[in-house]
Amino acid sequence: MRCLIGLTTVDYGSVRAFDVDPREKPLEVRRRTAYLPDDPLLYEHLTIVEFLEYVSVLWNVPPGAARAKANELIAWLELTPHQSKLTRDLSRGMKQKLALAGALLHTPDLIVLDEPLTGVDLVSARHIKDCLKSLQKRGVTIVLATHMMDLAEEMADRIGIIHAGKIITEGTPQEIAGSGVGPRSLESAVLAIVK
Amino acid sequence: MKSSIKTQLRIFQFELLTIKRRFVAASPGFRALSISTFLMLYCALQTLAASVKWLSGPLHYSEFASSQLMRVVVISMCAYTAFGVVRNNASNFSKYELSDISPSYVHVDLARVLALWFSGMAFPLFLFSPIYNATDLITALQFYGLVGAGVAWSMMLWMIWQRLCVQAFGRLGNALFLYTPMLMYVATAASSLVLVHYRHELTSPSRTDQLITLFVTTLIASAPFPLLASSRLFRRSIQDQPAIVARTDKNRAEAPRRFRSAAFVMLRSPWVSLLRNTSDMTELGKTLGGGVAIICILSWCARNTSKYESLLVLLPTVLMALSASQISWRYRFNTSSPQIDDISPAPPSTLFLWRMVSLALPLCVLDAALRGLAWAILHTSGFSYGTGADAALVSIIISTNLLVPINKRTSQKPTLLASFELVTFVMAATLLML
Repeated sequence: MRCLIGLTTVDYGSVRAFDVDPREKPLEVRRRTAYLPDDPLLYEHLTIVEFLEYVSVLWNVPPGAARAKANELIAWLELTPHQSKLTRDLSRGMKQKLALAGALLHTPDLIVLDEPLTGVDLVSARHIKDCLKSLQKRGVTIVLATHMMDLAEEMADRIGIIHAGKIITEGTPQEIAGSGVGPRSLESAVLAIVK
Repeated sequence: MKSSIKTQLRIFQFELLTIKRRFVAASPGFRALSISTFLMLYCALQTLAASVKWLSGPLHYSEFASSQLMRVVVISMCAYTAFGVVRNNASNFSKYELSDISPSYVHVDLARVLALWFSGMAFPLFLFSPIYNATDLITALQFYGLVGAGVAWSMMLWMIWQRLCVQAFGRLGNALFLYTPMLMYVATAASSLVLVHYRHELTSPSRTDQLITLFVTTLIASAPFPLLASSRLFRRSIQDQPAIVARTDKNRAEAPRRFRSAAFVMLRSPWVSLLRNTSDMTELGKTLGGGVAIICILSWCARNTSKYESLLVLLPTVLMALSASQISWRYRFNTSSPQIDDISPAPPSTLFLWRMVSLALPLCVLDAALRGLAWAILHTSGFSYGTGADAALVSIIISTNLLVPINKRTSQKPTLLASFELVTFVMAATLLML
């Protein structure tokens, strides 16, 4: 994931996004991509509104459009009552939602998420999942890394199981869950594959 | 083009806003630390530059020091380093440090108090030394300053080694950060030795009375820092660096055992960590190797030509500014996780530039204002305006006017420290007006 976004160089193999090598044209990939690590990338001394404005500057979103989009995202992610708070004072769930808002500000075509629901409360988790599903329906590609099999089962069209640094199997949730003998949950199927 | 400029300005605004809020959110100790860091670097660089200039010909220190370009570069570097301290550490002051649980607790405190005390006094003395004639009194003061610097240097060295040991358990960032002022300490001490050696050649008129006044005021002005240093908050603030707070509970539990083998670790660990980390090694090499090389080249050039001396004099400053800013940049936040701008399409050089500018600008403005004030006070009190004088005033004004309100803002009752600072300010002002 870090290679995709240009944070880490590739040791071997290759990475391509939008038919472009991120090493060759990193800015082109970044313009169309959003990345949310498990620890949200926030500037803790800015308020929600200021943070989104700053992000819009970083991604060269025109000020007028950025303001409208930021207001829309704040309302959509139910952050309106907290918009004048500093980001460091937000709860984990709100931080994650704000990071998501920042990621969506430039309308990316690809969103890369690393454990987006770790430490997030139930209500926020539901909300984030609904938001991601909504983005999915709009045609945004989402790459999500998680250890939560129920999340993968609910959200994913395709799943790749990575073990010891290698993809050991790939397919739809149904294919992977049904790959063994008899009906099984995705979790037990993955455990069986890994073992 | 127009939209690009607007974008740059917005980034600049946000940087200023972040710095302001971080500074306000920082502990009083950190604010004091950043200010004292600024002052120390400022004095050291001015002296270094003056020494190089002096070596190259007759002394025209005031003329040289008034070079605005030089001033901007020096202040940029000092400001960036000083504010980098705050920026890096503003939110980390509630965590623990190895010495909190070590048997050397008292010694660490004492060493820091002494180091701050001596460094607070020694640098202004170095700053003044090139300006005045070599009377007995001045010689004595210079000697005292050198002794002070020697002690300060030893203390600093000891502290740095101690920090290196701590860092060896985690990452090496803050130790590297400390290398830049360390280099300046060496350069300043060396240049002062040269100045003392050649003092009989100084041609400026004697101004003993002014020197005594400035010495006393500087002495008083530097007093709040050791007092601050003796407070637990300040001590903790100094030690709270990102790499240290990144330690886990497991590390913390193991700390006493590790500390017992400190003698072994002191000799081995920093270099092991350095060798394992190519980028840290590169930073260190650039800072130390580059600094030494440039100083050597400068010394040689200063003796052989005067044509490029102004340009050459800027080089060590630029080099140090670059090193410090690189290191500050790397450790601006916890470098183990990327920042949002790391993955944005905004060119890194643009962000870097604006960070430099936004950090330096407030200090440049402050410097200009304080110099104006210094000039006004000195002019009305009959003294001629000199670089040493306004440096002393900067120390006094910053240490009093900034630290006292900080105590008030943190809604503490007026403390002994605040009262002392107030008295210091009044005394210093009175002395200067006499």
